[in-house]
Parts: sequence; C-alpha cells; structure tokens
Amino acid sequence: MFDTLLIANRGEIALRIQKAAKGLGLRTVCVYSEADAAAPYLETADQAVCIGPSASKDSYLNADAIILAALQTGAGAIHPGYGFLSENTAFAQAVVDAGLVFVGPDAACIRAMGDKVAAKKAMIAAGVPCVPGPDSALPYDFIEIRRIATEIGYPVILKAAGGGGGRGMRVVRTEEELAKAVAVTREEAERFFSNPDIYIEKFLENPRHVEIQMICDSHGNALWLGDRDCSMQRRHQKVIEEAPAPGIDRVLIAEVGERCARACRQIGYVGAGTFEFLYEDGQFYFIEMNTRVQVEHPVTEMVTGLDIVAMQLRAARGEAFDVVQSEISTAGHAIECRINAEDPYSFAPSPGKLTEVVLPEGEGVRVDTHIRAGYVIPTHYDSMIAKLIVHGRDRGEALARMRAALDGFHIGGVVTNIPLQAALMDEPGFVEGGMNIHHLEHWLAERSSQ
Amino acid sequence: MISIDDLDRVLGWMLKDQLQALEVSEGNARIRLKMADRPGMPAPRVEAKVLARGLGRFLVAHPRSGEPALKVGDQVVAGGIVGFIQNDAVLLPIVSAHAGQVSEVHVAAGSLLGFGAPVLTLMVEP
Repeated sequence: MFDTLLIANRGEIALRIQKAAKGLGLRTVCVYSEADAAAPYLETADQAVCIGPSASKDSYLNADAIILAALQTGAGAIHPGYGFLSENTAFAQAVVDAGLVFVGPDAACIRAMGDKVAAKKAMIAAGVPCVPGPDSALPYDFIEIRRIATEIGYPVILKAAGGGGGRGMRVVRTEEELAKAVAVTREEAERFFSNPDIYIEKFLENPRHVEIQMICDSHGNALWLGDRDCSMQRRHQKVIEEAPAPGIDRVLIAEVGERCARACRQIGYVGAGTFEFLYEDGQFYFIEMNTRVQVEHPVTEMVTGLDIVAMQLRAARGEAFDVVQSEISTAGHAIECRINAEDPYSFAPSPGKLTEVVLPEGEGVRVDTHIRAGYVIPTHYDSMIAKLIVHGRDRGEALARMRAALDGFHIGGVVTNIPLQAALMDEPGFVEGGMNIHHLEHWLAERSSQ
Repeated sequence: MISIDDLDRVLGWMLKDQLQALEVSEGNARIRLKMADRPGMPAPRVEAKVLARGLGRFLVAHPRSGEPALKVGDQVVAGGIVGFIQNDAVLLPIVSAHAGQVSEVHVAAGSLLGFGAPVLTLMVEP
C-alpha cells in the first residue's frame, strides 16, 4: 500500500491524475522536463522534480530518471498516464523490480496485448468476436498464404504483429497484388517493429470505431463500463468521442462487454483498459486492447458517474472495488471534443503564449485542462491543450450543450481547432450519428476542394 | 551592506543592458556607478551558474574525501568538481565549466536536485 504517487506524464492528464490522487488522500510527485518548468500543475503537486531536457526521449521517456525520481522522493507507485511509457513492457517491469507499484496491468499483460497475434488468440479463447482471419502469424509459403487470403475473401489487410497506430498495414484488393504486399509488409515489420511476423484479416470497408471501457481490481472483479464511439478520426487520431455509441443494440453491447470482462479475468488483468472494435453491419470485430487509461475516458465517467482514474489507483493499492457489474448503468449522453493548439483546417501546430483563457461553464460541462492565461505551449509535445466534455439527458441535449460550450470557450494568443469542432457540431452526418471512421476525412477533403 | 561582489554583479547587469550609469538610493545611502570612458580599464566580472546535469541528492564532496563544502568567497578552477549528485549507487560529479569565485551556494547538502537545478553562482572574469 503506497501513500505517495509519482505522476510520469504531463499536460491535462498529469493534472487529472493529481486530482484523483488528492481525492484519495495521496501525496503527489510530478516529474517534468525543462520545457514544462512553468506548467501550472507543478504548483499544486506536493513535490515537483525536473527529470531532464525538453526532448521526450531525455525526460518523459527516460525510464531510469523517472524511477530514480520515485525512489528519491519516497513515491511508492508510478502512474504512467497515456502515451509516453504507459504501454512499455520494460518500464512496467523495471518499476516493479525497483520495489514500486506500476499503476496498470503487469508487464506480461502489456506484452501479450502489444503483440496483435497473441492478443487475438487470447480474445478468441475468451469468445470475444474478432475480424475473420487466422489467429496466428502468416506462414512463409506463398501458396498457403494465397489459400488463406482466398478463404477470407478480398479485400484483406496485412498487418505487422508488432505494429499499431495505423503503421505497418496494407490493404490488398486482388490476388495479383498479394505477393508484393506480403513482401513489403514483412520487410516493414522487421524494420520498424523488429518482428517480421505479419498476419492477415478481412478488410472492413466502412466500419465504425466502437470501444468498451474496462476496469479490473486484483480480486477478480472485472467490470465493463459501457461503450464509446470514436469514429470521428483524422489520420488515426480521434477528434470527437461520445458515449454511448449511437444506434447500436444495447443487448449486443452488453454481450460484448461481458465477453471482454471474461477475457480480462482469464488473463489476470488489473487496472483500466480498453477493447477497441470495428463495428460494421451489426457485428463487432476486435482490433486491439489498450492497456492504459485513455484520453477519452471522461465521456464514460460522465455517463456512469464513476471516477476511472481513482479506480485505477484503488486497484493499484490492492483494494477491492465496492461496486459490482449489476450496479453499473449509463445515464444520458456525453460528448468530448479534443481542443488542440493547431490551425483548424491545415492542422499546423500553433505553439506560443496564451494571452487569454476563458473556460466555458454551464450545466453538464466539464473541461479537463492544464492551461491558463500566460501559459506558454511548448513546441516539443503534442498539441492537445484541453478536452471539453458535455453531458445531456440525450444526444440532442448533449449536442446543444457542446455548441454552447464551444461558443463560450475563448483562447487567445494561439490558433485552436475550436472553429472546426463548432462546425462539426452542425455537420449533418455527425448530428445524425453513427458515421464511419472515414466520414471526417471525406468531409475535410470535400470542404477543401470547394 | 554592499560588498565588492555585489558591485560586480550590478556592473554585469549594466554591461548586459548597455547602461552607461546607474544610481541606487536607499535611506541615507546612495551609490552611483558610471562606465569608464577610458579604454583599457579591467572589465567587471560576470555571473555564471553551475547547474546539475542529472537528478539526485546533492553531496558537497566525494563521500570518501571528507573535503569541506564550498562556501561564498572560495575559488573554483575551470573543470573543477564542485560536488556530486548521488542517485542510488551512482555518483555523478558536478563540474564547473568556468574558473571563478563562489558568490552564492544554492543547495544544502543532502537536498534533492532536479535536472538543470542551480548548484552555485560564480563570479567569473569575462
């Protein structure tokens, strides 16, 4: 049981974790890079330690420095947040080897879920629906590969077993393209992920991205906290998320949720995690599991009333949850807009000093952010500076509240994507709901050609 | 009370901001500094900070050397070791890039130093 938590992250999530930790009466230690020396959340931490220069590889990705900082400050646990070292097997293991608690699943779980072939095998064993295709890496015999592809039916997609985030993938539409695609994908897999294994799946043309939030303690309680729709994406980056996913049968969601919970119990999963699915024609297809808290976790918190980060910390402290699955229900509808310091249509980053920050207020409005007037956005990290989340009794009310909240959100000194988000709240496809993962890219392409 | 070191520091600021003259009054005391017109006058000393390039507890000297801690007024040579950062089994020497006289000690022995934290301020001949 620890009473001091080191937060190994930056920006809004560093502040979010700090708030949850304080709520549990924990002492907090924030580590930061030289570029973040003036970050507002360092003032509210019980202790702040600079761990290195601005470049992520020398600070937020410097596992040794972070663990040493924890040992020097008396921290008993490390929360990795999202990104950076959050899904790094070696880091999770090094934290435990140093006698500290890693807030998340153990290294073996992270490794298993990071390897897509191993993950798929585990999911099939638990009865989680997967994309059609074998649950093992492709053989080297081309005749066999061709037979498998024909059996699945074109189009198919080739993926690097160690890949992720849209890299190391190739769509194959005809048998003639197959041989070359296999060779190139295998070569990339070896070069980028040091693992030449590739696997093959049915390629879904127009799926939605729907995910299930999980939270598990170390006493066998694996709870699913409902679903999220994250189909509004640009270049595999989520732009808007909402809960629940519009227009999907709740009975089907509950069935998939139960299977995810079963999978978590089977692999001994502890902490927060997300099962990501493609959803097409009324069917769910597992794509990957994220073994960390996600950027979009607040929409689930808004509809369930649960504090996912606090539950992560409770699970890490070895506590058993005091809620059971039958007590978890969702109420109303929540939407999150990611607010980035970037040009709304060219997407060029816009770092610099904030001259004005007016946060929106109102019924059902939540803003997760670390910024204030005078804050200088560093150039070294990603451009997300806030998350605007609204909750309403239904999707229509949530949309209305988001429009009003975006209208009341003013950031001076840099350019932000607030105008894009405001335009999307009136875009007929999004307003209708249930659009596929290509919808936003198509809308942007159409807009720029006008 | 104003010391010669303080005057050096004020001269350093004047030089940096290209001020020709500076006057400070406090109660009955008044001090007026004016840049010399004559060339060849010795240039004033400037401040330089020695920073921690690692993370850990500050040691004033190697645990086995028993040397006393540096104090204000001590001389430091360029490349000289002015203390150590201890983290676990690792001892990282803190090296001064400049020769100069210690004008301020920023950390107490045993305190936690973050990356880039100031350890000493030196007055250095330009």
